[in-house]
Amino acid sequence: MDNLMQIAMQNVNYGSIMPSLVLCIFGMALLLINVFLPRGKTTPASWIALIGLVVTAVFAARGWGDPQFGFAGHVALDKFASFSNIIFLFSAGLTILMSDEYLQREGYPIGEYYPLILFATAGAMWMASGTDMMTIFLGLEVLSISLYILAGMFRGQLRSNEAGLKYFLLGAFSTGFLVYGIALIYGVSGTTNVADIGMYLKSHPAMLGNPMTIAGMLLISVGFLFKIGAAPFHMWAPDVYQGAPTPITAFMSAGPKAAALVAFVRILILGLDGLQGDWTSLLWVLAVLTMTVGNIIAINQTNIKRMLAYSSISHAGYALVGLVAANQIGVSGILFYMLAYTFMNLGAFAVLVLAGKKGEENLTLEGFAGFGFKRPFLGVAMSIFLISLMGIPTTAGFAGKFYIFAGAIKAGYIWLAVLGVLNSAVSLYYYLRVMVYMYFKEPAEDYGWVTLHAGAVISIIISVVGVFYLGLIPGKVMEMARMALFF
Amino acid sequence: MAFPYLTLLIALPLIGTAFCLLFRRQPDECRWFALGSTLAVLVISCWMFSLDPDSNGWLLREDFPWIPSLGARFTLAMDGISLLMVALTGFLQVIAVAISWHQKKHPALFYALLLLLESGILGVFLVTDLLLFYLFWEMMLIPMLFLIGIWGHGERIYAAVKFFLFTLGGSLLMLLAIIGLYLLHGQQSGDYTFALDALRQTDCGAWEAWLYAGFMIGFLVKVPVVPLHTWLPDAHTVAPAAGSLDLAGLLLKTGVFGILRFAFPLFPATAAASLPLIAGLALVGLFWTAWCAYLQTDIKRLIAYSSVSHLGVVMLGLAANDEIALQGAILLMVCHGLTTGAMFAMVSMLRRRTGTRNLAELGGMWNEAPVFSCFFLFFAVASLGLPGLANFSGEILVFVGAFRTMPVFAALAVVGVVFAAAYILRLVQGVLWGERPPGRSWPDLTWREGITLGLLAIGTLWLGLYPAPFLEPLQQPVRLLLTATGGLP
Repeated sequence: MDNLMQIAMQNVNYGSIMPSLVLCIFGMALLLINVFLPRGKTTPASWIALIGLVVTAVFAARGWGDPQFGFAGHVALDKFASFSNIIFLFSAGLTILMSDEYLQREGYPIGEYYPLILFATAGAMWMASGTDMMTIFLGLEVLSISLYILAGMFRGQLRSNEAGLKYFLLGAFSTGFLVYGIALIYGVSGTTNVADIGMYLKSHPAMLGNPMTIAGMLLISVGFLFKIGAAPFHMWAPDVYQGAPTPITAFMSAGPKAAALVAFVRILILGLDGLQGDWTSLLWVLAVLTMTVGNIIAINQTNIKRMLAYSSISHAGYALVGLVAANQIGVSGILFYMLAYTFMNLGAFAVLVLAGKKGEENLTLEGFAGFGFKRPFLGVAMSIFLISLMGIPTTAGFAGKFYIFAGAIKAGYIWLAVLGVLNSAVSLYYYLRVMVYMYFKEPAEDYGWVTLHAGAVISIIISVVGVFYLGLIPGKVMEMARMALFF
Repeated sequence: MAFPYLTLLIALPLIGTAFCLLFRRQPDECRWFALGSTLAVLVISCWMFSLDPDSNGWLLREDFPWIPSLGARFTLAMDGISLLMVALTGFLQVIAVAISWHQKKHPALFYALLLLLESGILGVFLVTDLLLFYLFWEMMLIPMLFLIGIWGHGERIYAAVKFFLFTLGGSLLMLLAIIGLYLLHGQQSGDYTFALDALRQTDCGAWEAWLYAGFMIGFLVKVPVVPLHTWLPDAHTVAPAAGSLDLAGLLLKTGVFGILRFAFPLFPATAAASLPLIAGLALVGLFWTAWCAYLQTDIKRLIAYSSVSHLGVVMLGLAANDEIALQGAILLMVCHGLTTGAMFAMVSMLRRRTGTRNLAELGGMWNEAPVFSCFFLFFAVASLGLPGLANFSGEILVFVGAFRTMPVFAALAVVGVVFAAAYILRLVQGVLWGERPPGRSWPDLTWREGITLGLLAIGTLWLGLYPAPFLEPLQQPVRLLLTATGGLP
């Protein structure tokens, strides 16, 4: 018994989970602190949550040295995980910055909001650093359950209820697929460790064609593609994105999506390497489908929040292009793109948070008529984010797309790149339309005074800086994304 | 290290942009910021005529690291061709600020965008790194979109969106070609770079035609060549005066310049094979748009079509693959910038006085506003190619050169000049002569307008009578270009 304890302890290595550990401690402390805060006062909680993120960022940055392994090979804090952690921390931080005033305005100053975001982020971190199917699954569940609650947080709003319930039911279903897939792969290889699965399949090539392996791969893919919001598993996304509180929508479109992507990358490239032919052809089709479906439906939207939700589907499609390429440029492109997307999308959502009135009925195209001249700062910021989402040079969106499409072309998927670029061209139309309304249309009504809340303004400024930094001098971050690769 | 003059050229308008946005509540100051930075660009570019080229034709070169992990560098270089284009940009932007001096609607933003546009255009004329080129190429789009969309008249939203989608759609194909070329070169040499000189060594094999097509579509939309030209008349019809001036005077030239600087040198063999096709498109465009111009009743639309028609002659000069024709084509771009720019400026002056651009509602200007009418007649005949004025010297060189290599095309193109005469005379007749519509009094030019047009007129005369100083810097770069594409015997 003593012996066993010793072996177990040797393998633990808390250093490997330090960032998420710190985050969880802050989250739990915050839950306690909330009890003592006066009702309806959430501002101190948001500050503590931010401090928690900053402290975590310090630990996450320290992961950029030698990789730390722990828990008997279940967890690895390597550069890949660290880079992803930074993406999660940025998306959580920007979300929290824009949240406080929003919660007050909408009349739901709920203290549990911030700890839940911290827990979701911790879950995302486990997914990124999970080297065992079970760790990844655990992370996914922690992330998802936090998000189910957050999406349905506004109890009095029908849409929010709908979002929470829909997300929960469909999410639970998709997790079932994932677990089933993991079980099948376990049945084939006798292990849940991702690297071991890869080794096993390499040494037993006969098992590659086994229906159980293929079915396992497909089921795992379904589980992740659901979380990424890829077509045809995207049906939940628009309703959930529209119904959830706006900062949570912003958060969901960036952080958790990135988490699902990086975990998917690790499983596919490390574990199911042998099936690359199969999953690339599958993802090829789904990437094109995702980009196209997202873009084409986005064209029809008049609600800007919903439009961004659909466009976020198409952006998941661009990221999948990098996974199809499955080479150095493509996969580091995914990391870079998700960071870029975090800045541009959360920035756009922060503008929506400020522009919206209670209930957010005014976040329609008509409601934005003349917005650019009435609110110059927000107008310029929104234009910058939209231009970046279009993928026009000088912005992060261009650098990210360039990277991903270059990866696809290098891997020989010329047509995939062509279709991706054509899809970007389609997306121009609906992003441009928002700018057309903001600047070219006469204002339809007088806006109430928009108060520029410090938190949201700071998150907009951070996002603008991020968009231009990644767009104009992307070299350093690109280099880091390339170093982050584990293959 | 030498002083980075080229970077300074690109930065000056950007500084102006920043100042305009900072002082957006003081439109008077913004005006002077705009004028100051455009004048500074003009002065520096004029000084650059005194530089001597090195053996590769470069007057100035600057090179800084930019994105090391991709091998992209901040490389700027200026040869004689870009020198002329930069000088034209500097000159026309001063005029653009001058003709929109009394901009009432959001003046600060207007000047800021005008300067941002200038920065992008200068960037396009000066870069030799393909990724950086693409960056500047797209950077021109956004300000132009807003200039048309916010300050346009009539169907401005439709025109702005059409302009944006057409040009961006074309350049996305170019982006794919750039990426393809970059990767191809990287795989062959192991050196991943966007430098023009290095990429010229690439053996594209079977891909060459595709890559060339990608580049060309991006450029031809911008020129524009029929049938990709339909965005242009719409954009011109609604654009504000300064927007039209920049569009016709500068943006169209970036397309031609891109072909000369990138498409031809990168893929010389395919380019040489495609020349008859380009010449054919140029001819069709020349006649088709001349015919369209003749049918217009909106004088601004008429000039817009005539502009496409002139660009047809320029494209013919490119396609002729002949030293004289190519020099003529580049010179004609400068001439066309001045004359068409002047025409657009006058249309806006006319509109401000009469409230209309419809030929049927105009007439009798000659008696009402003699000074204006003199200028109008002067630039009109310059634009139809009257000897001694700007366009003639460019056109005659193109025709002389083209007769040497493709006589049939050249002979047909000369007939196009007759067409030009037809629509220009119709324009002059409709505006200057005839009966003045009753009930209005039209004042003559103000001194500010007079000086603006006077400057353009001096330029037009100079280019027409003594174009040698402008042709001289072209000789070496044109020779180098033709050596690459096999145009020299």
